[in-house]
Amino acid sequence: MTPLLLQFIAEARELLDKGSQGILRLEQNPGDAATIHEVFRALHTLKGSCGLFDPEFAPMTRLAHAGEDLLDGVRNGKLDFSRALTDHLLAAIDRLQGWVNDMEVAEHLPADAAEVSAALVAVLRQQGQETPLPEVAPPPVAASADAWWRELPPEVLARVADRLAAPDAVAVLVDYTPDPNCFFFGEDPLHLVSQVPGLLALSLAGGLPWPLAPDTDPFQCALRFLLASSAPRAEVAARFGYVENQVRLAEVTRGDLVPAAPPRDPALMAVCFDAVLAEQRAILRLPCDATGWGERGRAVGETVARLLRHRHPEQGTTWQTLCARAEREHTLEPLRAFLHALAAPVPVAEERAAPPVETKGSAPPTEHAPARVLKVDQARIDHLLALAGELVVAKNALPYLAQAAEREFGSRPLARRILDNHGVINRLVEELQATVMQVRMLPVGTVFQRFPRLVRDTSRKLDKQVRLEMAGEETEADKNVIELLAEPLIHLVRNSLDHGLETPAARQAAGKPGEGVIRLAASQESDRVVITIQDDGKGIDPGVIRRKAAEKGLLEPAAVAALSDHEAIQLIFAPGFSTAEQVSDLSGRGVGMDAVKSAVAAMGGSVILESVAGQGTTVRLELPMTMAVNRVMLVEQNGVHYGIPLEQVVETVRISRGEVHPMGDGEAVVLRDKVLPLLHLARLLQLDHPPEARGEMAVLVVRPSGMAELALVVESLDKGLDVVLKPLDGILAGIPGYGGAALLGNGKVLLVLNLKELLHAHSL
Amino acid sequence: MTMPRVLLADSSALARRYAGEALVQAGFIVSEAYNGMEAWEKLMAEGADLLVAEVDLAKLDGLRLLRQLRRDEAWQRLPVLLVAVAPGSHEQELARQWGVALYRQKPIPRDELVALALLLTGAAP
Repeated sequence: MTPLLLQFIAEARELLDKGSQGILRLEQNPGDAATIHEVFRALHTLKGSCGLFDPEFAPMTRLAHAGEDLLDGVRNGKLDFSRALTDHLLAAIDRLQGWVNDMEVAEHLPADAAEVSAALVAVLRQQGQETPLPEVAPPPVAASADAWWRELPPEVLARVADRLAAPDAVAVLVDYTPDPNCFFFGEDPLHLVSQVPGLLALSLAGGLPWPLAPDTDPFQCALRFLLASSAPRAEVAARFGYVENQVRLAEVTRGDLVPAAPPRDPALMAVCFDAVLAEQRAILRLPCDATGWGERGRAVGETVARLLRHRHPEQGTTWQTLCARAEREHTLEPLRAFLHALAAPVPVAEERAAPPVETKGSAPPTEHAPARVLKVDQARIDHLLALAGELVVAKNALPYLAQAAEREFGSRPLARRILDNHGVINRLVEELQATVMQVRMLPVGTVFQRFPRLVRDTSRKLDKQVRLEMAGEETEADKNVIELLAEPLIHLVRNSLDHGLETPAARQAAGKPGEGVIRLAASQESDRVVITIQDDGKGIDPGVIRRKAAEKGLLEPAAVAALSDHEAIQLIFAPGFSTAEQVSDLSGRGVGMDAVKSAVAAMGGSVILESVAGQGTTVRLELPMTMAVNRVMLVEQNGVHYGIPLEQVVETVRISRGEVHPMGDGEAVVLRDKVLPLLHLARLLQLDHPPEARGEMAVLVVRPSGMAELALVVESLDKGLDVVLKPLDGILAGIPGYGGAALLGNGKVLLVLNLKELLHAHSL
Repeated sequence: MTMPRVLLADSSALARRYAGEALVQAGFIVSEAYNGMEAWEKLMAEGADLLVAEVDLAKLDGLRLLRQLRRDEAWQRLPVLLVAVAPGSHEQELARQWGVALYRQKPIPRDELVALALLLTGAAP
């Protein structure tokens, strides 16, 4: 009897037992859906197993199928689980069990099986609706040969085959079951086996059934060795000369072990190829973001790569290139286009004739866009940008050189010529830098494109009607800015959806159209990108914010009262304000506005929120177009130069000592009808205070991001300068107050201040 | 010459044998697992070039096994052939979400299974 048939018998018995028990339970409790399903599954699985032995087992298959159909009817509520039904099903199961028993004895079904089956099927069909048995017959199981080794576990045979190099190489297979008492005859099976010449593979199998632990006799050998050797049969046989009767030998070739792979049916391969390809195309139709890429993008990449090895090996490189691009950009679009083109198979002859047009790194052949687009690794662009930045710094050395020419060598004409040259190089370098930066620019639309879906899904979930309007998608910003922008934007749009916009009923009650509007717009203002998120929801009530701020102890009640409405609303960005959940609905904003603010500030941008209660809220993000080059104002203090980010400098003025007024603990100055606190940079940096200047003082009016304007006294003012800011690292990284360092043209290192941190550290 | 490895995860020993014999005859190295946890452990221990798994596995069903594989960067590329006694459209959707190679009705006839294994392990010339 073949192992497959043995297995079938054991499994069929189990399934039939499960089935009959389930039917009996159903008789007690006819509505039990779980049991109906269980019986259905048992018969269904049995049907599948019988199918493996078709056509010989066809009578069983048909009977199991009829029973399954009946149960399906019960499951769908088309049939009642009647007494008669129980009887018929049990009769069918009894018959199936009888056949399994017959099979165990005779290895085949009785001659009348087909008739009996047809009769029983007819009875079962009367109970329910007839469905024809699908005529899918899996191929018959390969007949097993009589050679003993064919019963060895397939994995052992596979391993032996794996070790045989040539198809006609011969291996001697040995099945050695030592006598249980072999140790008493002075035999050492392990030693014997280890002495076999040319050992290819060795497998240890339990020869005898293991007795229960208390009955185990440790002096009995209960092992069976299966091994293969590349040595000649006679030599192997000689090794086992003393235990001849415990050994079976057989000579096999690799060809015996691995029958020449059945000739592959090209039609079948094509069907399978198309099936897998269709599945992959379906997968690519799913929306994809960064997680989706990990969940399925790589799998699709690998699966299709393997398929291509079979049918289009020449396309492999193109596919890999597309995958790499898709992985970088988290988009499945190029893969989709490629598979779409594969969908229409090109006749082989034509395919050969057409010279390969695509080259590595170019767009896939299916895209009809002009092939003027060059795909470059982002690291190279970044390197180019860094070099352009260094060039900016290097060029800044020329004015120093001109100064030296004049002062040290007394040649004013030379100094002038150096400066002329500086002008030319300056222009070229700026152009170079702008061009490289342009390469890194991406349209804001790449971030916006996810919002229609987000708004649609979220508004549906919240039962709100929302229209999303977008404008200015073509506005460009640096790739790094775009990438960092996504998260704060999602947060802000979600807030508008969750807390800003009201339900249609509430809107109509307030005299507004039921459909709310969220407007996302991007535009460029000088070297800043401005993004606004506007909704026409319920807005924010500054009174509520004031009350909450006071309750939460963020500000003194008097200070709260002194705030303008606009200032009060900005409190929503204060850390700890919007983290309380009960606030969110009252304020019309959600949690985590401080997170948005710090994310934007980290990019060198700012956030302003404006709101009119009842009319809506507008959040305005101002971001630098690029984060690569910073413009700083140079100031000098105690003989050292410091840089101050130019976007925070409002103006530079000179004031006389007499214009300074004492105010509270500190000093203040009136400039353009505004009272500004006056601070000394030397004190902020904890430097020795230089002697009070008698006459005028150099003052910078600055507005650190997110703070009010103030006046800063410095020793002297210098010029503005483009620098490539490098973040401080190592032990310097932890020092607050510094935004980074830059290399100056004269070789000195410039520390660039982070005023906000500096002021914060000072006020503590 | 090392042949590609296929891991068969199926709760039915008969189904494993049926598929396993065909694959071994075609020259694949085949390992078997009888539930999802065992499949996961065998993958970790032995690796595989293709996983053929039944959806209805005990302990860790085929879909969850697939999801777990996709969450581990080391297994995100492994082609997975999922089979189900009664394929459902919801399960089909989930299987696609996690990058199944093919989701099909079980059993797959032997010659078709061999053809699929040849394609999905990249062993087909």
